[in-house]
Amino acid sequence: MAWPTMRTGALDPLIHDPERLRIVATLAALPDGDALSVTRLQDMIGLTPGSEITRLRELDLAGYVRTGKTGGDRAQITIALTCDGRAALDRYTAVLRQLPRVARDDHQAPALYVRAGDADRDAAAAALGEHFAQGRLTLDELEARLAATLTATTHGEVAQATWDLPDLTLLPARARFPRGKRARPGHKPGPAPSQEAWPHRHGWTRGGSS
Amino acid sequence: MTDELDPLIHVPTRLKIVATLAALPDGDTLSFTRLQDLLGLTPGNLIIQLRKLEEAGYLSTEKTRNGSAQKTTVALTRQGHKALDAYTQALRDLLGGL
Repeated sequence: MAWPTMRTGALDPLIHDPERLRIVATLAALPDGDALSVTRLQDMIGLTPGSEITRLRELDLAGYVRTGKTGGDRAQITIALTCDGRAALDRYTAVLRQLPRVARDDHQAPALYVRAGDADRDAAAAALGEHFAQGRLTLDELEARLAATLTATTHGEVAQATWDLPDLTLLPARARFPRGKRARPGHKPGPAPSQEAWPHRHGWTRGGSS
Repeated sequence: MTDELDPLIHVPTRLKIVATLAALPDGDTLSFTRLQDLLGLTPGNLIIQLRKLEEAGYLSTEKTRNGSAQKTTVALTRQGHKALDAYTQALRDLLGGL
């Protein structure tokens, strides 16, 4: 069988360590700019104070987290993810998604003449919304393509709407929290990023592969 | 609280092996040399990782002899599939929507 040679990047060993992965994932779930106190983080993750401090120091040395201090009588050390840390986690999750198990559905993509169903059209529409939200499509383009997608009858027609757009699964993961400041001036934000957009095709959904 | 990440699968090399085998259609196997090519591993490294996974019952190997050439094929067991599913679930829980 024709099997593509695996071209995945390396999994960042700093993030791949289970304890550090837990820390980074927890911090990444915070809204931009938010920090957690060390004790709160410890409660959430369930690490011993000793190993938590060690892991945090390793991440700090790499520039993935930064420490701060809250003022007041009971000064507390706080931890936040840096931009570098977030970017490293994005790369890490992107590498994970490129593992062949995740790409399997692409490999077995239906032929172009095969009839498409509602789920196929919905997934393509969600992907278009995501591309619009990320600034790859104008509103007019989005509307034209959505119209074409939602009336498509074959997989070929569905695929046509996204043929010139990058594969969302290979792009760095986006944070779940909108970062308004980065939006292009005058760019109206699109529909909320759909959870269905890429996991739909790739079996990387919550609750097991479909 | 998330489940622990299976340390047998978590090692990057073994994760790639298991993920590659899991992507095969049911019942398919990969030859040792093909797997080695796909993953870009040295034979020694691949043998060691395969042995660890086989000892855990995650994969099965089969040796066939064709004349003088011996060929080893590898496939994921049901248990291996289950372990990878549990692993990806734990990872998903950990990473949330990221």
